[in-house]
Amino acid sequence: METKLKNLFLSFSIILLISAVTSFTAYNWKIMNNFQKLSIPIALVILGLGVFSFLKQEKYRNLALFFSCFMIGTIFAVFGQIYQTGADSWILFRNWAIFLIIPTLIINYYPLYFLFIIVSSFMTFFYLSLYYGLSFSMLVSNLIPAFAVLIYPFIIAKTKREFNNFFYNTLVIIFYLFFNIVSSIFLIFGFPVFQNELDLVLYLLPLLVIVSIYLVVGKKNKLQIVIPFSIFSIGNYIWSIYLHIFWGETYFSLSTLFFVSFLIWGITITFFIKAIPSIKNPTVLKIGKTVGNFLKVYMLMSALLFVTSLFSMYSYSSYEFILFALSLILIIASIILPKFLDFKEDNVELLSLSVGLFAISNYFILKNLDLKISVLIVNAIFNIIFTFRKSKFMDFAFFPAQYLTIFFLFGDLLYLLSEKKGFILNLILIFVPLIIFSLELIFQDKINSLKNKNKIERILLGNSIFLLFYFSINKAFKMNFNDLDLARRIFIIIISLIIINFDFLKQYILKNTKMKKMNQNIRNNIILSIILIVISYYSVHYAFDMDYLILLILFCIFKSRKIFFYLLNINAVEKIFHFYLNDYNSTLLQKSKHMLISSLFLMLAYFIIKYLVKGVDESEK
Amino acid sequence: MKVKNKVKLLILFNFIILFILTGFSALKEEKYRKQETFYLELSPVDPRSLMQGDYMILNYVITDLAWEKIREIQKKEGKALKRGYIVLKLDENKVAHYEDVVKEISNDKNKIFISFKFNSYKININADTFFFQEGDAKIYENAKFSEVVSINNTLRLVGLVDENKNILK
Repeated sequence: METKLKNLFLSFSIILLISAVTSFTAYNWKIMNNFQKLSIPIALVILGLGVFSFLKQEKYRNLALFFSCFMIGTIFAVFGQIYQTGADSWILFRNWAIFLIIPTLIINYYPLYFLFIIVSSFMTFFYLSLYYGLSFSMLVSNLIPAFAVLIYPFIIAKTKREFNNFFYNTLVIIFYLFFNIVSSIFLIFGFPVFQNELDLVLYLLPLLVIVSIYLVVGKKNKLQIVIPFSIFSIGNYIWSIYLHIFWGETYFSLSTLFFVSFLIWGITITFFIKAIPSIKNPTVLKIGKTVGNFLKVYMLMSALLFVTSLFSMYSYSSYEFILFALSLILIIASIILPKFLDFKEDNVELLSLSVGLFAISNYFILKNLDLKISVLIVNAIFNIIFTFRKSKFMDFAFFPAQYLTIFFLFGDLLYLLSEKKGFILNLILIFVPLIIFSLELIFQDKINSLKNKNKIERILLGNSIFLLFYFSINKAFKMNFNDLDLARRIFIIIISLIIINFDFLKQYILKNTKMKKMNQNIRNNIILSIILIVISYYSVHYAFDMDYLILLILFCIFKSRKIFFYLLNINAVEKIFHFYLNDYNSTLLQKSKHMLISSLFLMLAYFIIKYLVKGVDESEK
Repeated sequence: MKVKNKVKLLILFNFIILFILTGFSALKEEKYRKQETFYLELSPVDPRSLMQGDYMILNYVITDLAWEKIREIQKKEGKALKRGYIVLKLDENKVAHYEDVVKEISNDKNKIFISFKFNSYKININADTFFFQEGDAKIYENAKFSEVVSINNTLRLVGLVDENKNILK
């Protein structure tokens, strides 16, 4: 735990330092002359290079070089400010990318690869947006990571470096996610831009690249991870083109739409599900299976919509009746199917239930039933089925279903965050999962000794999933209610302290063992606790919930939830970025100050753990 | 030479080139600003903020007028006009006025040709944003003209001025 925390503090210290410098230069100081403005990022580049040159440990050298490489962008940004060369011009990113080539090629450090890919993508996007619309520019610029997916295996083979699975898997997932979102938006809602051969090539290029990745990387190089996602992307691309053509027709039939969608997705999903088992990485395999399940639900919904749309041709009221009847059939099927399937197939009744609930929600909408009543009915059906039958999925979904019901019932309050009611609702949606999470910690041993411990663990995992989800979508908690905010922060500190000192609490308080003398672990815990309290106290001034983030990270480390840990890291970076860019409660200078002090705190915490918490370096080795 | 030293040298070489090129670019930009300037009349502007700090999006009377002509050309030729030149003429106060939109420049010395790029939503004449210190938006609310230079038919923004051509800062 100490090692992971230590490394986390170092990484976030650098990220916050970079953000602080960028914020400072973005202020655009009038009192400085041009030379002074440019000197700041140049001096920082030299400082980073100095650390890179003189330190021996690779971890520090790489971080220092990364910092310097980011400052290259700051140099060009300040240059653009001074000489008014234009906001976010493609030339800024082009120049930045040029000077990233050498460090990216010669240093084997995957954050540099990501930086280069992102900068190159921005360069392409801003260049294309001079001539084309937004969605088209995003679609084509998304091909930069596609080329990275394509050529990385070749570069690794040629340079005989170690293939970094984490980098490649992350790149693949993020690329396919963005590609599918952007291509759908462009193809469905954009208008055709091909008025010459070049435009047509650009239109088809994304599809050709995906096919290339499938053939070259997937089939030839046997990097199985790209196969199912390529299949999905090709199907999505074709379907989006069809939908675009469909909306363009003056006369269209919904039945045709649903039938063709069903056909396209049926073929895509069949090949997709066949390709999933070939994925070796267990985390990516889980993601693939989840996507596969989601697609099955989508397929069944398309089938349902197609069947009901056929009936809509006769009369509207028969459509409503059919929709209601089908939804009841699907829900009842989800209850009785497990008996017939002898609890072997978790997916089939899950599909049946999901589509049934979807259908009945649509029925309520058609009947103009109040949203809150509809939500209550759907929730009641879910809870009844949960009570009377086994399902792994429903175990995970239990807590999120209850919280989401509260969210929908009182959701209008959340928009009134300036009102105390809204703030209290927000706190409920944080405190209740946190309390349940704390109870999970305290009664861990008792849970492990229960017969149905797997079911309980799944239910509690669902609670944790909601915690993570709500943290990621929730923006700054700094509101006008200091007493409630303080209560929230104290609560988070207490839970974090419990996690850090859990072994000590279990041994000396719960088991009532006598403490003979101050041992190393207790000393380490005290140091970590002090660090945590100081950071959390200072987080009163943060606008990116550092204390909440640390708590969730401690939880991930404690429960060895690797994927949550990675997602939290990504989300934390997003929160810092959002604070820098979109938070209008602070000026750029205030943000710079907050982030610089935060960075120094975390750097100090890193060194304290490194030198005072014993046993960290050994465990790292 | 050891591999590690080679790596260090290559990295250092990369950054030395960066500093040299930045220095030369800065000198070039300083030289541009000393060239003869003229003025473009602004349309109402909106202050905004982005990653490079606060900046204003500048809209011009000449681009508003060029918009119709571009649409006309596109309709006539049946394809998008992604780049071209806006033809301007200076009056006695060095304020540029819109004349025409053309695809190629001619030898007419009395006219100024400024290049533009068009993506069907916006005409970009390379002087579309103005950076200022955070909080100083009010100073530029009265901006009436932008002061520009033309370098190889590409506009470079020097500053914003009021109706009496006084530079705002």
